[in-house]
Amino acid sequence: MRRLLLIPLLFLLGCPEGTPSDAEDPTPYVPGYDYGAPTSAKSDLKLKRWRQIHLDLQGALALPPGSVCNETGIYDCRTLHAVPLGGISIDNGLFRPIDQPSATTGLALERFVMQACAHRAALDAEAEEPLIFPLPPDGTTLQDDQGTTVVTNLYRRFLARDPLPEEVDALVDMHAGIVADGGRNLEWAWMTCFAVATTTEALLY
Amino acid sequence: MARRPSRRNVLRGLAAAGLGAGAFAAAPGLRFVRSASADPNDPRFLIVLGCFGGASMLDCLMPVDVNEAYTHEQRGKVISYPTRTVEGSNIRCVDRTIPRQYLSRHAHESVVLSTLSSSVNHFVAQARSINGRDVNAGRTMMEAVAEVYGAGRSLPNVNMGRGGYAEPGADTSLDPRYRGEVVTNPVTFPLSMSGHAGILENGDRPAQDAEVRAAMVARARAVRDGQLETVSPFAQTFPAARMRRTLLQSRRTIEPQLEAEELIQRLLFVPDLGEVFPLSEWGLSSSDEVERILDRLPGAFPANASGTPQDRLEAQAALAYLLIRTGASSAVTLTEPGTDGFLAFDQSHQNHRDAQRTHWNRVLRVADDLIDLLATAEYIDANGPTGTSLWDRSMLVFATEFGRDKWDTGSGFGTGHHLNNGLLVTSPLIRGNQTLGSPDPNNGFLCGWDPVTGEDRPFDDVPAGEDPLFSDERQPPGEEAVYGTLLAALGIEYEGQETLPVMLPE
Repeated sequence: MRRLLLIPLLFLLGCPEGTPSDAEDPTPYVPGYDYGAPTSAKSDLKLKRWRQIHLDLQGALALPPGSVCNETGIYDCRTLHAVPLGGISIDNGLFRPIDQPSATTGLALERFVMQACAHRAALDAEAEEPLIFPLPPDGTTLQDDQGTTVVTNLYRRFLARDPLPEEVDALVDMHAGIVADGGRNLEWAWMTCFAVATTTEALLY
Repeated sequence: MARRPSRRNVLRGLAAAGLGAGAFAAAPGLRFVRSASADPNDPRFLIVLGCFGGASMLDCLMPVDVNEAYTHEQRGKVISYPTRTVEGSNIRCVDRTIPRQYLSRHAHESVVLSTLSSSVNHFVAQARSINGRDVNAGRTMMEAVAEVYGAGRSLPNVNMGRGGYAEPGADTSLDPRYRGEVVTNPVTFPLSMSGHAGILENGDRPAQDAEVRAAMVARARAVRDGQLETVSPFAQTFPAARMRRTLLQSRRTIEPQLEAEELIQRLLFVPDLGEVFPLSEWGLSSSDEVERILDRLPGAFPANASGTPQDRLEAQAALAYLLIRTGASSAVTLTEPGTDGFLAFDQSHQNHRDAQRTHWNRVLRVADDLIDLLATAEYIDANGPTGTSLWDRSMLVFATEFGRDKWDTGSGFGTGHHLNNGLLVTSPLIRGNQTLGSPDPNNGFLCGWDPVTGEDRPFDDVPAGEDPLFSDERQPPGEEAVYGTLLAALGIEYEGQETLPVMLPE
């Protein structure tokens, strides 16, 4: 009887934080059942705030601090996108950061990364010894080893690990599409940097 | 292997059987927002203008006439002004150009009313002025409007306020989409409406072509979200982390909508400003209403490369107009930023009369321009032009946190905070041209009024020079009733709603 009373209460409470929305609930544990890769029970990831995003990009792409991201070449993204990226604004009397992502958080993150990656791509295109993108920038073909090198560079710099073969394949395969869209090697490198640096793995901790 | 039924499946079964619903309805403490007369296809728009710092009605729209004010030997003279009642209006104001102009244009759809605040702490009182002391499960007026009229809109509730006017409500059951999107600089805010537009200067590389870039970004996003986010060890380890799910969900829903609606262009109310804001050099263009907006709000754009508009309140009004005009928002909050960028009406501590004059003039002038923009823009629904304006379905609330002390103590005097005050509401959706409550020339208090007839409840028996008690039943209504009335006028109902019928259309 007591259990019956608890059932409506469970419905009221809904799914606890961390329950997959479109998969079977992995708990309670059933011996012998294949749950796939081990999953974290904590599931309390946090989004990096603007300062850490900036430091990550600055470090991974070896950029000067003031040139990581400037909207229209003028407005520093650290200020312009501070609030949606977990910052405060004393001038606006906002003394506490927002407690969850806002509608513009994702796009602000993308702009931050997009500009930083574009800056590094432009620097490497001019450099005798490119730091991350050792490619002929205007070429439209990509050797396997070139693609693997770029992807590996990015994964090591942003995620501190080597990419899985599937991850290399996915990004190298993207090259043909980028060329079909009208881009060249440099554009592929830029988009690869963008894709890796905006994975949730790069943005959460 | 036989599998045990998961909790999710059990709950689904219960819901199908109606048991869950029964339990939900019976649960104590849960509230249901009803919107009996509200139709999302017949929307209303709420604009809250936070009069930050203590806007005193006694100094603008509910003044004591200078010839009637009592003088007390120790306390000084009740704050008073030469007053004027604009022809055709039932609202008396200080005899000054901007209040007169405002009333001559908008008295017929305005109500000034006395109220009694519950706090003289700025942020607490500001928050209570928009959440009615949590009377509606803790949600703010803007959140309530967004929840009813904002579904499908890309930015249902935009908040350019600060302090308590920017505080989200306490209703944790509210869909996060309806919480305020905080905007600190209306000029540059539209840049966060796209992940790729305006990222590179114009040039000859393929990526510098906006269309090519858009196609490439779409491709990169597809690889990222469709493949990298699936196979990585991180994704395998944290498939259910709330924050990760939130980001991925946003990529599928709100972000494509913001880009598809081209709000990066449609919300930009400044023209190309060369070195200050070189839009065209970066492949950006402005709203096609730039000239119309800047004709009325010329201070809305920045004068230098700081990005700060010349007049921050005008910039807020410009963005507020475009948010409603583009259909992006149903609730927008502005806040008088003050001439010093912060204190606004609270400069009354230093010089009461100068501060009240400066800031009342400013909020009324900008509000007049905003109303004009909305009144001259046609509301277009799914079936096309409606022959009505955006203003016809809007409400502008001049939210005040509290009033100021009531006594003029001599030249250049300053004032502290005071619970007795009021506010101004302008909207075609209320019964306009009313003054509810009146100032007592013997003590400066604004008296209460009958919520049905609007008849004053004066402090007749209080000796001149003495203050009525705050517990006096003739004090004006508190935040709860004002909150309930404004939402009722917007077609929104909720359990336990208290209203002031005299303000509502007959």
